[in-house]
Amino acid sequence: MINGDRVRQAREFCGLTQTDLASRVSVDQSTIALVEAGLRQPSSEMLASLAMQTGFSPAFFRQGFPPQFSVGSLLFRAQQSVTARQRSQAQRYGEIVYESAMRMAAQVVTTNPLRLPQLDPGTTPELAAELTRAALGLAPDRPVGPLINLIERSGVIVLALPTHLPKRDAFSLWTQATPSTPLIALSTGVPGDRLRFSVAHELGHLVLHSALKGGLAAVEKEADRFAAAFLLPAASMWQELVPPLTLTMLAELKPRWGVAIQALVMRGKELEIISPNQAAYLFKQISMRGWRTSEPIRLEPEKPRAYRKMAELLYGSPIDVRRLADEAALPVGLVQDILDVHAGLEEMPRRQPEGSTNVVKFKRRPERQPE
Amino acid sequence: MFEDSPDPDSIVSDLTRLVPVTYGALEVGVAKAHSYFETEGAEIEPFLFSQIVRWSARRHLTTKGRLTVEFEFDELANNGLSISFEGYDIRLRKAFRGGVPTPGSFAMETFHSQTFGFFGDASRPNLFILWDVSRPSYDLAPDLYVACPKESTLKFPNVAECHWLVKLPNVALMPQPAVRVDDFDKYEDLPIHRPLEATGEAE
Repeated sequence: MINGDRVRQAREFCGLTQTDLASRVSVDQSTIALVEAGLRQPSSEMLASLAMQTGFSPAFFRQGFPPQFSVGSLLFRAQQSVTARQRSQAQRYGEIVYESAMRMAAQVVTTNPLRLPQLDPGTTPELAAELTRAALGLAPDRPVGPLINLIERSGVIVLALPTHLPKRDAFSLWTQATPSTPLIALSTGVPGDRLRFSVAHELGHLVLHSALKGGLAAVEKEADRFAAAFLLPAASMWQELVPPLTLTMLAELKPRWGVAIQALVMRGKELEIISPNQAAYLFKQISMRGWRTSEPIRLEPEKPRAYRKMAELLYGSPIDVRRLADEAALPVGLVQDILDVHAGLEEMPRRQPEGSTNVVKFKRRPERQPE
Repeated sequence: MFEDSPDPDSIVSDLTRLVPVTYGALEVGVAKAHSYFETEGAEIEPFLFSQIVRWSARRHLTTKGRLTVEFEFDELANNGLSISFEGYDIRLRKAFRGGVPTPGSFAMETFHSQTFGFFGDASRPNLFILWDVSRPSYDLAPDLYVACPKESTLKFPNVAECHWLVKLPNVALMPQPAVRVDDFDKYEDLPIHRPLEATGEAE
């Protein structure tokens, strides 16, 4: 028995319209519509064709309903020239990676209590950022280290999607599981500094906007204000951004605070450390050097870890990708892509041990050959 | 005097650490000069603009510049900028038509002529580091240049003759390999474990 919702899920995952898919499997659009609505079962030939055209195995289509997965902050970005098809595709990617993650999560034990603050209605983004820092165990004035690791350790599910989502770097939602859990989904191919700001922006949505109040643009602005205050606390910025700001100074601050030079300029302007004219002057300098799109000091994009860690525990190390894919009824290539965008233990950021430069490295002695 | 000027590449390499400090000081100078005319609500006057840049850059170099790089700083008339670094005598000047301005004093003529004393080192010639602004915005140009001057009889408004003039890369603002955001907190792997009954052993 084929589940029509799964056909629709696979189609939207592939970014296809009903007409697109119909022409690929050589049927009418109405046939696809009927199958998706559960009013008609496809023939075995059509099922094979659906599987071939979407890349999902017939077993995938025989599964129960996909998880309830709200649009979340994808809704907030709706006004930013994102098409409905792009939004659905992002949502479907999220659903598939989430379902696969939850399948594994049911077989492991996580001792990771949720540490996001409960805020009173009307809390300003700046106060929310301060309270969130405190809830996550951060000092009020220090740079935030590896952000994604911190958020994962705070009970938020962070999943990387093996695709570049157009016009968005990340989205967030509260899952409809019981209990509801916050989730952030990340696009790939985003520069490290921008990704950190986007993750902080989504964290802002999670703590501020569990229910949508006010206009979409206002909500986005609040999340931006949260991200700026969370990553670049005002008190520290007053110490760090000593006018006149120069590119040389900002380039030094960038890797320390883990944000783009442009974000530092914006923060200086917001806090009125520099005048709008000075900010405009710096932005002109940034444009003149072509740094609007590519800044000179790049930060390595951070990766979430939980998905891969669960796979390592359940499917061995190296991970038995084929077994994982079979059990999740997903294409092996897709599972491998999902694993690749999550961090192995060796990829995780670490503090350099003190005095590490003086450490003498010993090589392993070669095995003695039998004489 | 010397006939064969040293290789510019090795000199550019010697100056690597000085460039970010110098450029940073000039950025401060240009920002201060802009701020002055903005506050006054007046149009930029080029000569005063350059004076403010030199004065502010000199102040920045003497107060903050030495925190990162060791160099000596000579006081010159008219807010002139002169640095001794790694055995080089260097004058910071605003470019004139993209080159070195002709000398306007006897002292400067001597500097151009590369006259070395008894203990002089011809491998460490006198140098100019040139800065400039773009017109009409008066933004600091993105690159500094280094020039090795030579004696000449040219007078203003010509550009002084040089052995060579090359761009000085500023490593602080150049594309660099990606760095990790770490060294802040100790990384802890996530507390995710197999259930005890599955492994038969405590995690």
